[in-house]
Amino acid sequence: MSHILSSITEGVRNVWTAKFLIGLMFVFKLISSLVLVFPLYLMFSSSFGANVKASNLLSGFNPSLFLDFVYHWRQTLSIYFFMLILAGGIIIAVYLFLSGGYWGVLRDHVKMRKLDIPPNPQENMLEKYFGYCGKYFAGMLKISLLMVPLYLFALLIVLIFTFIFGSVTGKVNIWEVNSWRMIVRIVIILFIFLWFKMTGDYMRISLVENQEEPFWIVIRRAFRFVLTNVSAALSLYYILGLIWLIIFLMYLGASKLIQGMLPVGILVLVTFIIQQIYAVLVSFYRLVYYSSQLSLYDRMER
Amino acid sequence: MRLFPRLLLPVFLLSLSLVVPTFCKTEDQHAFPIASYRIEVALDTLGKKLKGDEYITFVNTSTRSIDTLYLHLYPNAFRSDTTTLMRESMFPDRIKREEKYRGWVEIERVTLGSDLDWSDRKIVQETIMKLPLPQPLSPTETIKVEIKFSVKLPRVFMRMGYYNRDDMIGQWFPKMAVLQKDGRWNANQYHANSEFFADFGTYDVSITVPVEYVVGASGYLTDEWKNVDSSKTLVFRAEDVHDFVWVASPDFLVYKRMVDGIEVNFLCKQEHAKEVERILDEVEFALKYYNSSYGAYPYRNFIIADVKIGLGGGAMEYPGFITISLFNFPPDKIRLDAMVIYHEISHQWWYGMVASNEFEEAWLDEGFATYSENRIMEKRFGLKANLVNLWRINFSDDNLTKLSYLLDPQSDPVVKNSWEFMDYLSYRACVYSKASLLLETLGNYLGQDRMSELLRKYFQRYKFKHPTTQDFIRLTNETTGEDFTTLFEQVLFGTGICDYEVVSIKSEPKKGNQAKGPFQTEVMLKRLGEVVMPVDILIVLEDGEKIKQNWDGKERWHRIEMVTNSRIKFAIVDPEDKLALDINVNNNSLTSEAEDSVILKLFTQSLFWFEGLVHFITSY
Repeated sequence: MSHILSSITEGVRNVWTAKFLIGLMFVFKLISSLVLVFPLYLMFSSSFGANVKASNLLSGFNPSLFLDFVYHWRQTLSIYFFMLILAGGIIIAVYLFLSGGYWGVLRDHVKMRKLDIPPNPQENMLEKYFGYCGKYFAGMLKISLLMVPLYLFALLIVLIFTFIFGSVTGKVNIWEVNSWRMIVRIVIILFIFLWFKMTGDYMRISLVENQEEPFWIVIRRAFRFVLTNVSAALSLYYILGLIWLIIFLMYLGASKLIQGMLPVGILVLVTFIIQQIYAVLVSFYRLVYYSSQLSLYDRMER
Repeated sequence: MRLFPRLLLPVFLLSLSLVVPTFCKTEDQHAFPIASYRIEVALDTLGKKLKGDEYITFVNTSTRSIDTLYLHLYPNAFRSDTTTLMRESMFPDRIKREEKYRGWVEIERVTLGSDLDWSDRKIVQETIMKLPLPQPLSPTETIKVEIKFSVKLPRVFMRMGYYNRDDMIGQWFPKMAVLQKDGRWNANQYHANSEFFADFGTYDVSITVPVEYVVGASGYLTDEWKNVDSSKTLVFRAEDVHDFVWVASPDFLVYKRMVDGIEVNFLCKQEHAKEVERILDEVEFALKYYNSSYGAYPYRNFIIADVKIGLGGGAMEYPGFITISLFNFPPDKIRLDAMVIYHEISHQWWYGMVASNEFEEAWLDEGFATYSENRIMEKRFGLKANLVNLWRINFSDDNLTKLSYLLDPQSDPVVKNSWEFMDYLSYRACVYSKASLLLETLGNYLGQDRMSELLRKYFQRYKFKHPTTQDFIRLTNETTGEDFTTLFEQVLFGTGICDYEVVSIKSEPKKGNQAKGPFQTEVMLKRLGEVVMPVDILIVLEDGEKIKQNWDGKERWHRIEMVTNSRIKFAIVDPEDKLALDINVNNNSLTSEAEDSVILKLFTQSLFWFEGLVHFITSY
């Protein structure tokens, strides 16, 4: 347990030291989202910008307006959804490239902290960052492709589990989210998928730690680590998951709190600010995930 | 003495003119029995077959003699994968080719009158059988036909057949087609999109099934006995109906409730037993609502059966009988069960008693049923979110009707032979949704009371009759005192859409004083669709003054010019949302100040959702 808590603490510290990464990740998400949302914004402006009836959209969803909106823009929306899929693919590829930089820079900070080397203020962090992006891109791409059969395997395990569970405990209506059968199913399904996702993270860690090794050795070491340090790795993963849950609940609470307290125009602005703060926190949290796992790997492999 | 013979003929003819219509005229409380049936049928549960003897009494109520009888043999639609129904249905070919979905009817013997064997004279063309008569049947004459038949039940595919131990027996017997007043037969093949059309009569049906089977049928039980071979026979009688359907299963549980003197029987399966009270509550609400809205349900029984009628579930209506497949959604959040029940029960009025031609004018039952279902959903669960009220998703039954219409609003007119629609989507969009929206638009213009009066009159006048579209149009004009012919012609017989737009608004100072006015105010409107309807316009000025105007909608555009004391704030065409048919309500208004808050909210909310999406897709 001490390893886990120390890893988390170190992870937070390392991310804070390299806080420009938070900005990079947030800006990447923001720009990607703006690109995706801009065509929708134009359509919304055209249909609702001077529409008297649209004012009731401020208080909630109005299916009548949206049905007619979708019908009116149906041809444009068809093209838009196709472009969305294309853009999504590009975003994934760009993130693949950028992720090498996150892992590389954070790994450097783990090593420097272990060797007690202070950060060099002369160093051009962006140059270093993009250097790592290029260096690890091929490996990151291979790992992402490897994740596809792994997730399919995870799906198979989930299907087998749900079949056995259903046979033992009986059928469940998927709308009965409060029933214990449904809760247990959801928890175990999440557990299985997150375990495989975590394995992917350790493959990336193994990649940046064993830079000169052949790819298959990198993967072997990652699986060996995950299998020999199951409890530590999973505990770290789920404790960090709880932290995310807390962030999310705080966001929900803040959003609910301001409802009805502010005039509509200001409410929209304040909600937007809260949403972007949440987006920054989520970026920070993801980097803490990376950094904490790097730290744990380093500790356990010593 | 000479006068007497001269008077005799006119007196005789006058008497005849009184007698003949009376003989053919529908009595106040009952239908005139044109085609009545006595059927004895046995169900072979292992072989999935029926063996039946049928005795038809048919009266020629047309104005001409006929030399051929036409009957429907609906089970033949499942005989092969090349039948009309199979070719037109949208199920995959591999389903249609499977042997278990095969079904048919074999006519073993036909006897005319008391003993004339006419078996060799029958002509069977898929689902239509023609029987040339030995001599013409004159107007008002009756003929008796005896048919010995057997039916092979298909695995349930469309509306009839078996599923596990359930047997859904609909459209199962050789059934008289409708002889129209002009002496022509209305006898169409069984098409994938169409339903049915038949004359009223009385049914006396003896059903023999294994003793453990529970049977639900149209009409009411008159007798029952056990047979020596561990079977039992139940005798049902149904009066004033144009169809007879029954279901049998050893797995049914029967729950009863009395509603306004009607015995409601819910035949359900064990797994749905906990839904009984809820379902019976919905049935009770529907029967009471329709009884008070349109007119009394005349039968003493009502059956609701929990069975599969298609590969994907579904629901169906028959006189005094509906089938449902219960959904598994939480009923207080997603009210599909209630919606389906209300729709099918409304068919007791629109189709069951007001027996329009489902082959050729399907909107007269489906459009009316959809309209009725929308109104009762509003009455029961409120105007908004009456269908879906889940998390932040609020959706009404009206929204669903509009959505269905928008899926294909222009491929076909509403009034069209069912099988001639481009596809099922178009059929549904027109016959169910566009028709319902038309009635809703009409109701909005007339007001609730006048619309209710119209529907009640329509029911009362055409109960136990076969009304047509023209009958409804005439009645509407007669009842309302206004001429809606153009509206009906545009919407029912055309493919145009209804769309009105406020194109622009402006106010310019007349005397060069920007702040004080007076202002020359102009509102520009356009009719983008082909449907022409008079519309209201509401103009609101910045000082709060409201100005109401009208436009007949005939021209493509209309300019309103006026001198006002303050600038225009906004203009709305159809401010009370009377035009349910309007295909785009988002262009019905224009405001001089942009709705920045709305756009900002939509933009920021979308941005946030996309940020979440990007986070998710990059979290592999």
